[in-house]
Amino acid sequence: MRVILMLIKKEFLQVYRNKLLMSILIVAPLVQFVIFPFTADYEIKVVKIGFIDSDHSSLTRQMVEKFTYSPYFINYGFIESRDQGEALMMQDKVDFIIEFPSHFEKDLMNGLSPQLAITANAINSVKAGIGSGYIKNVISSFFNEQKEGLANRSAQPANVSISKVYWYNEQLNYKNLIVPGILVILVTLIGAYVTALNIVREKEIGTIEQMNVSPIKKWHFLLGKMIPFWILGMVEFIIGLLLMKFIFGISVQGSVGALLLCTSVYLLVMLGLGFFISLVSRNQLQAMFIVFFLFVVFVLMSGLFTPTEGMPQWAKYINYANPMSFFMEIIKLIVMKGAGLMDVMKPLITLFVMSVFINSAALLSYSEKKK
Amino acid sequence: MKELIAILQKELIHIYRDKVSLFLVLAMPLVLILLFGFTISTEIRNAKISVCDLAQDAQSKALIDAFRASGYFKIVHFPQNPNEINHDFKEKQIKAGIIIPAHFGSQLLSDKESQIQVISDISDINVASVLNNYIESVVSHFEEEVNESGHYSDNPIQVSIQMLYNPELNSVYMFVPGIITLIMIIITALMSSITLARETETNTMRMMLITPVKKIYIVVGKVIPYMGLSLLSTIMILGISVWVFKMPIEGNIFLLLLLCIIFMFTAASFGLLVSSISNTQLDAMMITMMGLFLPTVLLSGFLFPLDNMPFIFQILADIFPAKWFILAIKDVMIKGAGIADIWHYILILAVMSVVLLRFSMSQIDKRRKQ
Repeated sequence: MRVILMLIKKEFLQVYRNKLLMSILIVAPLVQFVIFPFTADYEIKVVKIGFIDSDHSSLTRQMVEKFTYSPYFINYGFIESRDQGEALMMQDKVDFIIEFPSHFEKDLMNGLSPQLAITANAINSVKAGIGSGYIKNVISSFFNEQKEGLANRSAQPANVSISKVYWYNEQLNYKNLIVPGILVILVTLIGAYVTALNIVREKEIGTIEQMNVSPIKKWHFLLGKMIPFWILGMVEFIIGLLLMKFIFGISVQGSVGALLLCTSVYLLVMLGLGFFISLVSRNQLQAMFIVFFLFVVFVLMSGLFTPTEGMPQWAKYINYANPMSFFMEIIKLIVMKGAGLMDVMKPLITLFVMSVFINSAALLSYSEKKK
Repeated sequence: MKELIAILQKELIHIYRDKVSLFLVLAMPLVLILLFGFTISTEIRNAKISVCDLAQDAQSKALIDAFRASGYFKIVHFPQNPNEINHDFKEKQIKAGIIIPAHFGSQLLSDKESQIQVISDISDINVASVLNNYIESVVSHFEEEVNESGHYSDNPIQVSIQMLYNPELNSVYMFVPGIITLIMIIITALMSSITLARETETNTMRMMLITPVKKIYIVVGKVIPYMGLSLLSTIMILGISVWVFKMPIEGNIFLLLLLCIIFMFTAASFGLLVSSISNTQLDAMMITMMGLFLPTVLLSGFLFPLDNMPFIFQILADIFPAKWFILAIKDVMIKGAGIADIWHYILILAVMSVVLLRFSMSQIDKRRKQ
């Protein structure tokens, strides 16, 4: 016990003296909390739109005006020709071009169904899809208004309106998803990254050999490494929770105790992973690459930035080995949906099994190395 | 010249001996692009929903069939009471609940006006916004069907939409330029700054500096192999995006490669600057990660649209080279732009490299005198 305490003390001293590590521990969460939520926003709010009007009628002008009033569109104005339109699209000055054919109004009045041509810049497929949806909505609502004006149309078409109720995130705010996601990233980085780099450094400068020849037992070594970083991770997490509450006004809806318990188990998985990686890699560069590689895969498949529902089945199977996706699920359940300990039992047990597995693998490979 | 080749050789042996890193460096772009291309799609199939049908008439049945036939939804539960939807969110993990009110059909036929209620789980806003679009499109199809059977022509304006540059709305188009950028930064900036920092950390840099080899040869010789590696990776990414994802290269391939080489210089200059101010590998790694990698992910417009960001971040984005490189690469690859269209991007990148290079050279000189 005394040995472990000494080791923990040594580790904290090392962290404290390492200015870089200290600044990472303090600056990283602050930077992430300040930058991420403002930049990570997928919502398509601004669509730049231009018009080619070959009709020059009052109807087309009214329609253009209707687009100008909509908050989603920035009206670029009228474009002379298709060629000019394509040139503007090339320079990203417009995202959509709406082209009114000549005799648009006349044809419409005569019931000839004129055609409206929309050209979209589809490099950003999401923007193209959602933007054309917005445009169609504006057109059909414009048309409905027009129809009400035309008195002779007795036969009104049927209409189903949709009233929407949003749960768990009433304002449809991306920050409510991104900010808890940052907490996950933070804990993962502290757990895996810092631990792996720390141990590999000992290996590189040879102090691990000194430890191996000292009477320190291997589980002493393991605990002496893990406990300090576990504490650091928890402290970071709690700081993150406070920042989340006081800067973004997102408070944990569910049980905070359950959240802390889940985080501590997740940290064990990440610490074990960091430990394991440090044992298989020869230098800091290697360790960094392995952690980074896993980290990118974990994040991309965790459902933080993109929905996991759309993944093919084989990817979903692979995702069962991704601890971050389980932790992400827990965070969503507890922070946003107000779940308690019982609701997150399944992912929590999965994480626990993972932590036992990875830590015993690390311990085994460490004792193998020691021989 | 002989000296340069000797340094090059030494660095190549370093790279070759660290097979794990080499493997990871070459595998990373592959995994990234396959992940982005295959698993990350904004299309959702078989999302679980509950439908509470209080009307139980022909029209409500038709609407439910429309939901089922769309393929986007899987109806897991038909609760009798709207309150049960509440439980379904937790127990059945549904993504949305739909309530069809009593007299849905009769209202639709007599008043031409009816309403359904949709309750969505917005805890995952990515999923929810996609599902909401699906629900709207299913309902509007349903409206059209009802109207057609009643012989109304609802929408006399025909709307034709042409998707320019990316007719199949493939999301890989967005990601390929971004992945090329990230790989270039990881290999050219990160790896070269780390290898230079390693020489400083293990004091071998001093040994090299007291040899008759010129300083410039040491730096160039150490950086060139990584540039070669990153060019190799870039070609690999382009190959996969063309052959696996059928992404066209509309513009001139040599212009594209020229662009990549220029950006490589920018990244290498950044790496040099980092190594000149850091003492250990860890320093170099962290500075590159925080100073270049993170801003590239967040502020280059490849993952998150720049339009939405607060003004200050849009200005910040202009300072980092990645934004300009991605804009240029997109123009050449997808829009088929020529050099006349992108010369200003090339100029910006070139100026950035020169400034970074000047700065790092003066840093190295300062150090040497100490």
